[in-house]
Amino acid sequence: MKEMDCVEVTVEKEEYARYGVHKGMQGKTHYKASNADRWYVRFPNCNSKLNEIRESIYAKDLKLLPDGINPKINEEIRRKFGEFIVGDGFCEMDCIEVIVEKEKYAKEGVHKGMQGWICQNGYGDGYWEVNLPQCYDKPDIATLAIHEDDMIQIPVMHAKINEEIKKKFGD
Amino acid sequence: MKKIKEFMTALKKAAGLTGTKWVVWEHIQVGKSHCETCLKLNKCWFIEEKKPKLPQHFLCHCTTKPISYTDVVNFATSNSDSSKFDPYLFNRGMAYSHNKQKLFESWGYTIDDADWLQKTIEEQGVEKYINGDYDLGLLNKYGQRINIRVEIPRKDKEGTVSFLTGWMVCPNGRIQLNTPYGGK
Repeated sequence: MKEMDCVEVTVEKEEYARYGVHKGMQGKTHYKASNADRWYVRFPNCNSKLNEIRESIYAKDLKLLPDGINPKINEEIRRKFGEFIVGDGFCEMDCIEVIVEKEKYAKEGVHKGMQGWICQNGYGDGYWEVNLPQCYDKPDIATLAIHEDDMIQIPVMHAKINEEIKKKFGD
Repeated sequence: MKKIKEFMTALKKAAGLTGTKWVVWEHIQVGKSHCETCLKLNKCWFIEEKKPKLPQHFLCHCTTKPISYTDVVNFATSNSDSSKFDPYLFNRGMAYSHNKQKLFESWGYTIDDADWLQKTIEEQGVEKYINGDYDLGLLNKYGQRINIRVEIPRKDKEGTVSFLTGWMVCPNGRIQLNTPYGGK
């Protein structure tokens, strides 16, 4: 096996399923893990680099696919397991704006109007891990879970807005 | 002399003889209800000095058990999504207006280095996690965040730069990258 080989997962294992990888899913080897006989494999979805899964898989649990991969199969399998797919609502890497002022967010320095991006897949209960950065080399305001009802998707996020709101609240 | 010291430290580490003790968080259910935060910490690995508060709450029955350093070295892994570097960090498509790409450009990095950066940050992330070189961040029912400082060489001139990266601790020695640049 070498980098960029097309592969299919041949087993259903809890350690893979936890991260959304199931038997039958197809991907490309990215690189070999340094400390075990495992390969980092990218499992893409259709038409998007976003929300793809990248997981280290034991070489013995993979088989080579000589005819390439079909990302549609990955989406079908993930849907079968009730997992979130790009286009089903929010997705990883989406830009968002916080639309409510709540104490639980405020205590982390996050206020209404702040903008960020979704940095982890949804937790399944309506919450998403969101990162709210500041400009250039300034530290992030927070990385925390925000409920989907408390934010809206926006096309572009501006970290400068976060700095202005932060200043207003004197955080 | 310095090299001998470094060699001995590496040897001790390999033999699991360092002072750093690793523990695995164990959630124990006694009552009828679960604490969601404790459930999320179940099977996560920490060094003794940098583990979440124990007990977490009133009537918390969680405990920690020692885990061998050899296991940590052999099985700890890091993972990140390529989209956190391209498009996010290098702001391809200009959807993420944070100017962090200018920071990296000032060090000589371009969007072509996204894959290298991803790999380097993952490697350093797991190495520093294994060495216990991390700081605990926010903990809630979605998990324990940690910050890890990584160092990369400047491409524009000699020297290095370091910055914080944000990770989520997952069970069985895995850390998942939240954000590739969390501050200087």
